[in-house]
Amino acid sequence: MVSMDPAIDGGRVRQARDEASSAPRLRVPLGNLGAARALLLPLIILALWQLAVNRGIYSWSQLPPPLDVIAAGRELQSIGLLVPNVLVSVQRVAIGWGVGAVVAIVLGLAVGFSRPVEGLLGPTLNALRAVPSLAWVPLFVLWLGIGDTPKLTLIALGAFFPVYTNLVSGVRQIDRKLIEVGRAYGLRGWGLTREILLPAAFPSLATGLRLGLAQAWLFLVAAELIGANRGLGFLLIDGQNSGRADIIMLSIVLLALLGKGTDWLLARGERRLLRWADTFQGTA
Amino acid sequence: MAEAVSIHGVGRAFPGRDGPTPVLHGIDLHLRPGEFVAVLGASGCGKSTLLRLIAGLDTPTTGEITIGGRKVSDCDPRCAMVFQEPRLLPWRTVAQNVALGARGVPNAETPEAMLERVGLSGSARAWPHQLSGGMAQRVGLARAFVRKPAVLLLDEPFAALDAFTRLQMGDLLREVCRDRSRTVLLVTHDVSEALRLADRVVLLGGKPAAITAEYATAGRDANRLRAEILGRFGLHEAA
Repeated sequence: MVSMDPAIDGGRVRQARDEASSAPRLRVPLGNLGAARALLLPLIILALWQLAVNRGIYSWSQLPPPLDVIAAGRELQSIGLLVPNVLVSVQRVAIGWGVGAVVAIVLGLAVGFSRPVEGLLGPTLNALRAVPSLAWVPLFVLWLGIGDTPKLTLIALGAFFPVYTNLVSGVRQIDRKLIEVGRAYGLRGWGLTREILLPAAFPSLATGLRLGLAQAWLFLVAAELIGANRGLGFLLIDGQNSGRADIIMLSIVLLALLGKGTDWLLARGERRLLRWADTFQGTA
Repeated sequence: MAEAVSIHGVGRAFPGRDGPTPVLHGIDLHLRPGEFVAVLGASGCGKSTLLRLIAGLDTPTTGEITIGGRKVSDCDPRCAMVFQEPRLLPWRTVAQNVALGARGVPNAETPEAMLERVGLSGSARAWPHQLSGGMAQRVGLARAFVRKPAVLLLDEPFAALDAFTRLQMGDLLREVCRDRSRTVLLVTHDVSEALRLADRVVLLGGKPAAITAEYATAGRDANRLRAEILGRFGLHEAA
C-alpha cells in the first residue's frame, strides 16, 4: 500500500529534483550561516555602539561602552541585586501572563463558541479593550494598594486581550464541517471543546499567547516603573535617578534577552504542537 | 446489531427570504434490519438533508424518524456517518482519526484492525495531509466502520474519487456489509453504483423532494433496470 501513496513518495522526488536544478546556481552566502544568521544584526549593532563610544558622540554618562555594561552587571551581582531583580520580574510576567491567558482562553472559547455568550460579553470586552491599558493604573493602585497585586493585575490585563481576540477569531474560522464530525461521533460540551475547538483554533491561540507574552513584558516594565522596589523596571528607574546609564542599558539588554528567550520557548512548544499542520514554512 | 429505520411523513423546510422553503416533503421509507438501500437523486435535491435527519444532525420540521423503534433525537450514537469529503481531523494521525469513531463504543473494533481491513495499516501514524484523496476517504470509512454501527449512513462517499478507486471502495463497502450486521443507507447520484451495491433503490425527486419510485434489485437485470431508472430522470442511453 505504501507504493500507492504519491503524496509521500512524490514529496521526496520533488525535493530531490529541486536540489538538482538549483545546484549550478550561485547560493546566497546567508544560507550557509545557519543559526548564526540571527547573530549578524546584533553584532553589527554592537559594533556601531562601540564605534559611537570611540568617536565620543555621547559622553560616558549618556552612552557607556558595551564592556562597561557587563561590568555594571557584575557589580550589581556582587552586591546581590542582579539575579533577584531578574527573578522577580520573570515571576511577575509568568504569573500575570498565566492568569491573563487562562481567563482569556475560557472567555475566548465561550464567546467564540456561543453567539448568546458573545452577545452578552463581546461588546463589553471590546469596549474595555479600547481603554489604553495604562489608564487603569491609577484605579488599580487605588483599589489594590501598591503591592504586587496591582502589578500582576495590570500584566494579566495586558496579556488577556491578544489571547482573547485571537482565540475568538480562531474559533470562528474553524471549518464548520469538522465540528459536525465531532457532533456526529458523539462529542459534546467539554469533549467537543477539547477534541475539536481547541486543536482547530490552536494556530490562532498560539499567535495570541505569543503576542500576549510580549504585552506582558511591556506591562511589567510599565508597572515596575510606576512603583516598585524590585524588578527590572525598578533597576531602570534607579539607573535614571542615579545617572547610571550603564545600569539602564543593562536592564534594556536583559529585557531583550528575557523577552526573546521566553518567546523562543513558546515558539518551540507551538512548533511541536503544530506538527500536523501543512502550512507554508517560508522558503529555504 | 442492525436496526430497522422508519421514516414517517418526514418533511424539512429551511427558513428563506420569502418564508420557509420546503426541501423534503412527506417522505415515507422503511429499512429492514440489515437492508442496503440506495437513495438516488439529482444534486441538491435534498438527499443529504435526509441523511442528516436520520443521523440526528438535523431535526425534521414534520414527521418522525425512528431507529429500532426509538425516536431519533440529537446525534444518534447508533448511527455512523461517512461524508462526501473525508473530513479527517488534521491534528490527529490516521489511527487517532479512526479511534474517534470507536470513542464511547464498548464493543468497537481496534483502529489498527480496522485500518488493516481498509488496507492502510502502513499509514497508521501518517498525518491526514500526507494522504491521497482515496486513502483519506478510506480512513473516513474506517472511522465509521470501527464503530460497528447499527445504521451506516453514506453521503456520496465516493463522489470525489476517480473511477478506479471508486470501484475499489464499492467492493470494500460490499465486503464489510456482507454479513448484514448493519443497515445501510447510501446516498448517491451514480445509478450503476446504486444498482451494484443496494438491495433496493429509492428515487428522490421534485421540489420539495419526495420519493418518486422504488426498485428492488434482487433477480432483476441490472442493465434493464438502469435504463428504466435513467428514463425516469429523462435520460436515454444510446443502444
